[in-house]
Amino acid sequence: MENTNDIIFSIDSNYKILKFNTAFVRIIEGSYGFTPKAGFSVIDPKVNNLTTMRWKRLYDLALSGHDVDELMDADPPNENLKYEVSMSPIKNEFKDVTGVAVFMRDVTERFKAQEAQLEMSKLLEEKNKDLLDFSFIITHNLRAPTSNLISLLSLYDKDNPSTDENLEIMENFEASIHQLNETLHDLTMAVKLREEIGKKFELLNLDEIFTNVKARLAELNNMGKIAINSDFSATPELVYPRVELDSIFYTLLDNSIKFAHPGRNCVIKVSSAIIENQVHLTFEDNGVGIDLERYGDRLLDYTKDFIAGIQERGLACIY
Amino acid sequence: MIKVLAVDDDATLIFLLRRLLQKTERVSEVRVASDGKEALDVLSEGEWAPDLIFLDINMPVMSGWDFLEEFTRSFADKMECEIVMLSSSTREMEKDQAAKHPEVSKYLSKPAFYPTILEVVTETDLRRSTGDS
Repeated sequence: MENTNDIIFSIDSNYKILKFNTAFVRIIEGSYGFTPKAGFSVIDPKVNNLTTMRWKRLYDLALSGHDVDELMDADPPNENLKYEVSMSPIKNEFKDVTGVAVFMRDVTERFKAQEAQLEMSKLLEEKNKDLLDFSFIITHNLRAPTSNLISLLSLYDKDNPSTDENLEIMENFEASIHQLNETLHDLTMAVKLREEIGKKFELLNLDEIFTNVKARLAELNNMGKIAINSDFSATPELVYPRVELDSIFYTLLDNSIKFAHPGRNCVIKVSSAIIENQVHLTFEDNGVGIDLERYGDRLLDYTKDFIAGIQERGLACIY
Repeated sequence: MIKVLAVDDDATLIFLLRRLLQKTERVSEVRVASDGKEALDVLSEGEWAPDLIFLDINMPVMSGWDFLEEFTRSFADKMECEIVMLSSSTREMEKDQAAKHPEVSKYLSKPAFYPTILEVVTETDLRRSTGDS
């Protein structure tokens, strides 16, 4: 009874202490500032009223013959401690309840560990869901052009390669391969981002990153009629993960080019500014625009189509 | 011979579907819509009604699911038309969701191969000719 940190005591049917161990003395002294003695009432007014009421309910339950198991918070100033409380009725030879034996164990650490485990499970569940959504999108976006390629191949007339039908098939073949390539680029970028996120913040030169992105997009697009004006003079540098900034520039610039208005030359303006101690990047273009009222809430989805016939990317692929 | 409405935002898929439908020699006319809203516009004109609709799920402006809801509300009792879902999705839940719509007679996964398209078209054509819907 003494060789333990668990608190053990017993009371009679009038809530008076019968026996107790040193751990019980320690907690009463620590919490209420007095030393308990045999005969002391556990519903003594020295203990605050709320606590008394809470414990009395449990004592009464045990005194009425029931076993009690309850998780209890300790009283201030130890309210962060949690105790597993077990009460068992003490019975005489006639089976009458004459008192209650109380066993209390500090389960704070175990409780914290359980909470941490639950938190971790929740986090893992969310990560799994994210991963499932992501894999679904990628699977879907890979399957669409791949299945088109398979079907196109089944229609291709190998014996007469120069037919008009075959030429049309080849045009669609090219479109599907381009789509496949874009999806693979997205996938590669997303994998890179997952590796980089939270790891490498570095001082980046905005103009250098933007110029690099522009050069990569120029390899895939005819940039002849596109005017791109960039001005990062207000804040030429930024501390940020390189891959993420690259992805932001790439996604926005790629979308601006894709959604260029067919009736006017494409003009894209990119600039940086410091507003309320934060770096702001502004992207403007004179493209077809987007119905923000309708699609604004979906702007951050990984891949959402807002305009027919063009596969665009939501900004969420950045994160 | 039947009339078909193909609803998909993927131009290559539409090209393929047109070719495959022509090959069946059981299709008199194919109309195309690049999303659910365009498909509803075609039906709303009231001058033309398809016997069979091939419907994609993930489309801009209006998805296949939104189209189905509107179709059930506004057109299902006005026209005898079967709907075949044609999707790249691998989610089982989407097949289950499709099964809840009485207008959906089949759920096909892309790629769409000729034998499957031929089977669907033939079944619809035969049902139309025998008057069994």
